[in-house]
Formats: sequence, C-alpha cells, structure tokens
Amino acid sequence: MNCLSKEELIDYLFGADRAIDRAAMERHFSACAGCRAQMENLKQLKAAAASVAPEPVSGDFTARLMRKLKEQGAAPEIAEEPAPFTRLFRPAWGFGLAAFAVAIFAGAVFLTGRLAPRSAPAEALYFSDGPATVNNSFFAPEERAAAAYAPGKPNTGYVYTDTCAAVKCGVL
Amino acid sequence: MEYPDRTRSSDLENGLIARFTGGDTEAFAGLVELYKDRIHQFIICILGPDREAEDIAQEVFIQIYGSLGTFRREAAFSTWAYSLTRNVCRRRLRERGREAGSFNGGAEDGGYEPLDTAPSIEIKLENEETAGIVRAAVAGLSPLHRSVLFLSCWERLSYGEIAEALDIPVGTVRSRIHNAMRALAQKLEPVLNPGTEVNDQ
Repeated sequence: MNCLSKEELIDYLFGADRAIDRAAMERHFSACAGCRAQMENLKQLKAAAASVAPEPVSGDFTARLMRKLKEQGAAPEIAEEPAPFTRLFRPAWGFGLAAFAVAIFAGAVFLTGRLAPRSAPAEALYFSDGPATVNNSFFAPEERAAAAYAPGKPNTGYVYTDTCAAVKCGVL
Repeated sequence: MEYPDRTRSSDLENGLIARFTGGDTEAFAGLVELYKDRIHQFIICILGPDREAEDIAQEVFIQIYGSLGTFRREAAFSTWAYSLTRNVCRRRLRERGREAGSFNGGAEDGGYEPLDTAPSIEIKLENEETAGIVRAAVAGLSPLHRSVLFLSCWERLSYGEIAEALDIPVGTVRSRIHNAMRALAQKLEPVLNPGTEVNDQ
C-alpha cells in the first residue's frame, strides 16, 4: 500500500461515512513511520480542537427560558401519532379511496333508482263489480294522495273490490 | 464540561422528548439542561463572541419548544436542533445586514488546501496556558471552520450528520474539516513549536 494522503488520514481519523479500508490503513501504519507520525499529529490537532469545551450559559438560563415560555403562553405543536395501519398510506391515497367510495355509492344509487326505503303501501277500499284496474280505481282526493297514486305510475296501494272485500286481491 | 456520552445522553433525551410529546411540558427543562451550553457554543461558532448569544440561544429553544411535537425523529435530535440553530443564526445575520454568505461557505468548498502538520506538533493540553492558547486559536478560525470542528470534534457527529445540520453536501463537510485542520495547525504551530514552519504543499 502506498503512503496515505492527508484526505485519507483525516477520513480515517474522523470516521468518514464513505467506505475506507481501515484494516489496510492500520497495516500500513504499523509499517510506515511517516504516515504514523502524520496520524499522530492529526490526532493531537483533533484533541486540541476537542479540548475547547462549550462556553457555558448563565446559571439561570433554564429558569428564565421556562418563565418566558409560560409568560408567552407558548403551546407546543403536538403532531397526532397516526395509527400503525394509516402509516402505510399517504394522504393522497386517502383522497383516492374516498373518491372511489363516492363513485361506488353513486353507482349504487343510480342502479337502484332511489335511496329512501319505500313507504308502506297505502290501502284503499274500492267497490266495483269488475276486477280492480288502474282505470276503474277510484280514490277520494285525500285517499289518492295517501296512496301516492297517480295515473301512469304504479300504484303502491292495495285495491279491494266488492268481490274480494275481505281479502287482498291485487296490487295495481 | 466533559464530553457528552452520546449513548447515555441519547437515552435520556429520547425519554425527555417522549414525555414532552406526551404532554409533560416540564420535561422540556431537562432537554434544555442537556443542550443549553452546546447550542450556545454552536451559536458562538457561527457568530463569533457575541453578547446576544445567550438571547439567541433562548430564541432557539423557544423554537424547539414550539416545533418539537412535530419532530419526526428521522434525524438525531442533536442534528435537528443544530440545523434549527443555524437557521436562527442566519436570520440574525441577515437582520444585522451582515453577509449571511460568510457562513454559507465560499471558495474553499471547491476542494482541499494542502495540509502539512509535519514535523511534529506537541500539544500539552493539560497545561492551563496551552489550553488558553488552543481556545484562542480555535476562536480565531473562520465561522465555517469553527462550526465543523465543534460538530465533529466535540459533538462527534458523523460527516453525514454534519452535512444535515449545516445543509451542505458530505463532500463539502470533508473539505471543510480538512481545511479547518490545516488552519488550526497553522495557528498552533508557531506558538507551540516556534522553531518549525508550516509547509504548504
């Protein structure tokens, strides 16, 4: 191994993230007095820099700070911890899922025709000689409304004729 | 002040952060105790000796208090805190009308300058007088050099962590550390070894 460059020595000393063959360098140090001396000098320099301890703040620093935070009524912004399942999803996916659900719901509404459950069929008593049909059915105005009957629309009520007054005989 | 024991300090700070984010705002005082001198020193590294350094440190901690709840722990707390400190200092520099670029780097980021510490630097750190000389030599470095030396030598952050804290590429961290070591060698050698000269290759 050739003698080490200053960059390599410093990377070795500071434990650079990039891949360096530390074992090979150490073998070289044991054989090369020049590189060993360079490394010793660098270690001395690093120790000198590391010997400069941080300048301390005044003794009441923390107390003053906490008082200031209280006076300002500062409130920390606390992030909601997402549930483990939701951590797997990005917010955009949530919007996509919501849009998909809305589309499915809209499709279902379209296919079934209406949302609300059908109201209970109104019943009306009809007297006739013949069978009950749309054309010969008779309702008083209030009964017609109650039965939600309208010409051309299916009647939701039951119509009884005199021939079957006691039993349900047909749904128009 | 002794070197921070990173493992012990990390366990302690993680516990304090968890308590704080859980709603115990008093835990913040413990976090301040752990970091107050270090943040203060980093501010001095960037701004130089500054009578407002302590006020700026308070401002940094107020910002940390406000946003710690949203700290995602993707980076180490120290890296995040130093990054926030750097931003506060840069804002201060802008407000004062100084050239913020004086900290953001300059021509030296392009590469290395030759370093030669030979033949030998004998630094007896236990000597009180020498300690003062070393402190003065470090204080006499540029903000860029002081900052990387503080983060690498005292805080013992990795190149990657320093890059994150200073928002610079890892390659720039390498060249800054290299040049800072060279500058420190130049400052110390005439004092400690008057008979030798620094040989710039």
